Formats: sequence, C-alpha cells, structure tokens
Amino acid sequence: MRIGGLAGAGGPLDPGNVTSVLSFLAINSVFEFPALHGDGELEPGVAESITPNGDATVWTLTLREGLLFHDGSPVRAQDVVASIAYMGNFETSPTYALGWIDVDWANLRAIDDRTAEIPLLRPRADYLESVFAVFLPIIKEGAPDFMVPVGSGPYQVESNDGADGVVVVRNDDWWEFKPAVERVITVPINDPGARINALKSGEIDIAYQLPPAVVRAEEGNDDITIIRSSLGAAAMIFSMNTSLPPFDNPEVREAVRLSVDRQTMINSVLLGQGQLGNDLVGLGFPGYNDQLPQRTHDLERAQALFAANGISELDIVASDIAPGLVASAEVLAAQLATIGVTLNIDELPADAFFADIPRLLSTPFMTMYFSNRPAAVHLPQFVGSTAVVNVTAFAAPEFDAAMLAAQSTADAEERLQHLLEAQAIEWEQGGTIVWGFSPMILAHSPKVENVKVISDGLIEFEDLVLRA
Amino acid sequence: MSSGLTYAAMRMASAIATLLVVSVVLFAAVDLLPGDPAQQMLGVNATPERVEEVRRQLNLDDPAPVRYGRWMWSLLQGDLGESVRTGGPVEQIVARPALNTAVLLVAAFGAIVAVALVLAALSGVREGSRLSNLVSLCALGALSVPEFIVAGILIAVVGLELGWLPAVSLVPIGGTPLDRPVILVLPVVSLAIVGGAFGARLIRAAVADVARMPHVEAARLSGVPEGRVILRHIVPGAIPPTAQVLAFLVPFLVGGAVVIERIFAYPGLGSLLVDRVSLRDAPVIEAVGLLQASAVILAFQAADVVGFLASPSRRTAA
Repeated sequence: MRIGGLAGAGGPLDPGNVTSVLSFLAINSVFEFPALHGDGELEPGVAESITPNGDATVWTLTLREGLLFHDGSPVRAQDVVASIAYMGNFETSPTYALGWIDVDWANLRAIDDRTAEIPLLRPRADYLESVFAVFLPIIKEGAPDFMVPVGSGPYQVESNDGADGVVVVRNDDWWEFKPAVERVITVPINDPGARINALKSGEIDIAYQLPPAVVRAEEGNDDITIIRSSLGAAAMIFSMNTSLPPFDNPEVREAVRLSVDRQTMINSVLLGQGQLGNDLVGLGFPGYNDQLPQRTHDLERAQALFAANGISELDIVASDIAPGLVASAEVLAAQLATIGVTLNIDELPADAFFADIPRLLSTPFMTMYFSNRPAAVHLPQFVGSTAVVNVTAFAAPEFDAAMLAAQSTADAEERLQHLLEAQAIEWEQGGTIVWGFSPMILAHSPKVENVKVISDGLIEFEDLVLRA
Repeated sequence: MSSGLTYAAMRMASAIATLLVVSVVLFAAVDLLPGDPAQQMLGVNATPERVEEVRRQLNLDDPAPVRYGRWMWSLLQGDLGESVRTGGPVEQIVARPALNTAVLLVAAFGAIVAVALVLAALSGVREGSRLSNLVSLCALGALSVPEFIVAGILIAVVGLELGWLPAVSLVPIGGTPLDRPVILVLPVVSLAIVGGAFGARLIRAAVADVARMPHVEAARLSGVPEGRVILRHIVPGAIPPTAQVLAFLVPFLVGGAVVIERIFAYPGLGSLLVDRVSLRDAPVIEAVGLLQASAVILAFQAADVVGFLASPSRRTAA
C-alpha cells in the first residue's frame, strides 16, 4: 500500500514535533493513544480506564494488560509518565506542550506498572477528551530514536528516509487485531497535481490531501474514488481583532458578518465542495453548538451599519495558508463593493504567515484557517484570556467563566451545557467568521477498501484493505 | 609556467571569486526571506520565551556578517551545518537529491546536446535552405512553450492516456533513478524539447557565422568536398562558440529542473529547494543554492577551457 502526500522536511517521526502530514500519518500508526477521538466519538486505546477523582484534580490512567512495544518490552505506567513529561515540555514538544500546562509536575507518578496518577493544578473534568485523547501518544521511556521509533501501535517502522518516505510493517503482536495490509509506504509527493497523476497511473494507491480544484477535474472518473470529510477539514475564516479599530465596534463586526455570502464563497472558492459555516469550529464533533441560528447574508442591513459607523474602506491581510483564502478575500471584496465599501487586500506569502506571531496578533482583519477540532479542544487554545494564540483578542469574562466551568464541572451533561454556552458567547460577541469548511479530500484506487477518515483528517492504516 | 597552466590557474581563481560573490548574495537572500526561522520551527503555539531561546541557540540575533563568517568557516571545514527543521546534517539531506538531480541533468544535457548539434549542423551549414528554415521554425515553436506545459502535455498523453511511461518519477525506496531508468524519460524529454530548441538556434547561428567566413567560402570554391569543408573548416571554428552555448544551457537546465522535478515528484535538489524555502530551512537552502551555482560556474569554466584548447591561435602555436 503506497500513500502519497505532503512530506515537508521528513526527518524524525517525533510525536512532539510533527513536521508534515505524511509524518503525522506514520506517527499515528506507530504510536498509540490512551483513547482516540476516532470518527467523532471517543474510541478505546491502550488505556483500560481513565478516571478522575471527585473534583477532577487527579486522574488515574490504567493500561490494558499485556501491551508490548515493538521491541518486545512491556508498555508500563512509567512510559505513560515519561510520555506526558515529553509532550508537556515546551522544548521537546513546542506545539503540544500547552495542552499539559495544568499538570502538577512534582506529583506526577507511576503507582505501579499499569497505573499512572496525573495530578492537576486545577479541576479539569474534560481532560480525557481535551488532552489524553489528543496530546498523549505513548512513547517508550528513555532517549527515544525518532528516526526509527519504537511504539506500540499496529505498525512498526521498517525504514525512514526523507527522500523516499517511510516504510511501516504490520505489528503482528498488536493487542487489538491483525491489520489486513502488511506494509504501508508513505511517498513524498508535494505537488497535488503530481499526487493525483501518481494515483491515476498506479504509482500510489491513495492520494492524501487534495485541493478541491484538483479533484473537480476527476468527477466522473470511475477509476478513482474521492472521499471528502469534515473531520480534518479546514475551517475557512475571516478573523476580526476585537481589540483593534474598527473591529472593536460590535456593529462593524456585525456588518462584516452580514456582508459575507457564505454559499457564494463555498461555490466559488471551494468549487461547491464544502460545508456552510456558522462562525464556530468543531462542526461534526461532539460538543458542537448546532442550536444557534445559521448566520444569514443581509447586504441592506450591512450597508446601513457600515454607513452608521462611517466605514467606507477596510483592509484585510490575506494568505493562502489553506488553499482558497486569498480568493475568499477577493470574493468578499466584490460583495462589499456592491454596498460601497472598498476592501483593500494585502496578500502575504503562505510560508511567512505564521512566522511573525506578534504581527499576527496585531492585525485587525485577516483571512485565517483552523483545523476542525472538537470545540473543547479548539476554544481553550484560540479564544479567551488564557489562550496563547488568540487572534481575535476576544476575552470576555463571561466566556472565560463558561469555559472554566466547561473544563472543571464533573457532570458531563452540565459540562456540555457550559461548552455550548461558551460557543454561544463567542458566536454572539467574538471576532471569528467561519464562512465554510473546506473538506479533507483524498482519492484512492478501487483496489483500496475501508478508507476511514478520523479526527485531524487522519486515516488509520490498520483499517485499510488492499485487493489484488 | 606554460600559457595553458597560467590560463587554468586564472580560470580557477575567477571561479572561486565568483563562488564567493554568489555565497554572499545567497546568504543575504536567504536572510531576507520574510519571517522568523525560530517561530517557523516551533509553530504557532510556541511561547515567546521559547522562540527567543531558539533564536539564541541558532545565533539568529548575531549581525548578518558574523553569521556569514561563521557559515563560511564551517563550510571551509567541510561542515554544511544542520537542518533547522529536522536537526539532521545538511550533507546527508542534500546527498541523495544531489545525486538524483545530477542523473537527471546529465541525461537531459546529453539529450539536448545530441538534438541541438544535429539540428544546428543540419540547418546552419546551408543557411537559407528549406531544411534550415524548417528547423528554425520548429525550434522557435518549441522555445515558445514553457517546459511545465510540455511536461503537462507529456504526462496527460504519454503517461496517463497511453500509459506508456510513468506519469510521475518516483525513485525506488533506497535506490537511485538508474534502478528504474524509465522514470527519467518524460522529465528528460520535457527539458530536452525546450533546451534542445534553444541550443539548436544558438548553435545554428554560431555554425552559420563560421560557414560564412572567407576561408570556408574559399575552400568550397576550390572544389573541396562538402563533407571535408564541414569537418576541416566549419566544425573546428564552431567549437568555441558552441561550448559557450552549451554552458549557457546549464543554468537553463538547473532552473528548469526545479520546475520539472516538482511536476514529476522527482526527489532532486529542485524539489528539496522548493520545500525548504517554504520551511525557511536556511542551511539546506544555502547548500542547495551553492551546489547549483557551482554546477553553473563549473560549466562556464569548462566551456572557457574547451574554447581555449580549440582556439586557432593555440592550435597554431601547438
């Protein structure tokens, strides 16, 4: 089985520092999580149980019996502790360490070989779905060699060569079942056009992550199957900084929201291959607030609001960090022009967009994208006064209080209500316009069966079947 | 010291000086790329403190001349540094793609030379003939089409529609392109069509210039057979300008390979360069840039030497 995709820099398969989507796929097949978000619901992983104490300040994780790493050594609670220490360290895991900031490091410990105790500095009743299932691949204790890493997952690394890709082979000792495909090779093909050509000419079996324009040309081609998934989709966004003029004025934010013709955006930018957004991330995941009314397009009211606030010109920074964002700004400019508002577009190269975070945080209006993740995972990272990358600078006290309650309330139903409330506050007062979701698109040959896209747009190699 | 050795020493000195200038320009260009490499490395969630720490580790706060000096010093000791993305040694990252690109370029260069020389000789010897005009016209046509369009057409027709050749050029795991030479055909043809046309036109002009010279006309008027005129009088005179034209094809090929490698997913230096520019992996970008510049400089030096060896004054002296 050969999977072609974006390879980035290749290099180590380090769960703390994932360098490309292809590495991410391989890492996901080599390392296991205590539990996994799967296709929306939480699925079991290597943990037999993960339970909080009464006020959710101490979590106890018990491993399944008889788990083995690829080198034959047992998976122990000490490895869980080492993995948390690795993933929670900003030096070894710059991207994910933030997820672990509530851990009481001094008292983190393994009680016995199968049981780890994770004490927290504050109650976090949401830790299973927000942290354990997202930020905890189990890494073997000791200095790990991430070029050819040892994990406990359904596949083990046979070779890892940046130029050629990664070869993983089936782990016949895996605890859950015997995967159908014996060997999976990730093939670096960075150009999406070359990816689909490689699939069509039989050089690869799955072309992973394709832009809408590339697959549109393949509609009606019976030799390939196209899959579009909202799990792993990109939330396509106009981001308004609520602390900077003119977007510190709620009426201006409202006027921009009303100007956006979301369906036209999807039709023209995503070539009709997308889902309507309602200014929230997490569509399709548990905890998404689908009770809020769908935002509508009302140019007349938008015009009145712009006029009342003396706005006839706006500036936006646009960048194709997800394909189509610059086009979305152009479509918005055309929509605003019909009501006499000029939108000046300042285009920034995609590779420079995230390179200057202070600039990002002080830009009044810009295009943006977020990976579509559960609201409980997304919101604490990007919204509210404790978020590190709060691009809209939205941090109302009532939002913080709702989010805190959504994290600390022990009762799951009550916690959900707080999470829905936090989303409603952000929807009402925030600066995020999610106009649509650009789906995670992949294509595969008819020989491949059972391709399931899970959260983060990953596919699990152990599910795949390859017919002769 | 003989004139030949003096000449070689002068060429060597000029090559080193050119390479030094290129290294300064390259370093400055990479330095001017927008964005902070430390932030790029750590991602959007990194704390400002951690970004600052990595900036210090990478010496990014030092003035540019100091960093350039440090880079050159390591380079002179044969150390290309480490990738800021993966931490791997740059030599290792660059080695396989460099070999793959070398294979592609040598094959493409060979094809171009063969095509260009045959066409140019056929059309340049008898300027104004029907064959000469036809070759000129075809060459002009091929020249007007960028190589990525040529590649796209070849992929669509030969690769996907007819299925005769692979539509992408994936190198076998752990192997080289020569383990599966068929993957080289379409990229080489894409480069050779445009490069060959370009070369043919220039070489044809050079050959025509020589063919118009009085001594060639005199030989023809004296009844020397045409084959002998070409071999004895035209070819030797056309060697120095032809060597220069072929040298000019090298930068064209190096640049063209960047596009072609990406379209065919061929794992060469061009693909590596494009990927690492977007990742701001300065040590790798600089190493690839230097390798490409060295290839171009070497080609021009070789052309000069060939021109020197073939020059009539030298042949007379010998």
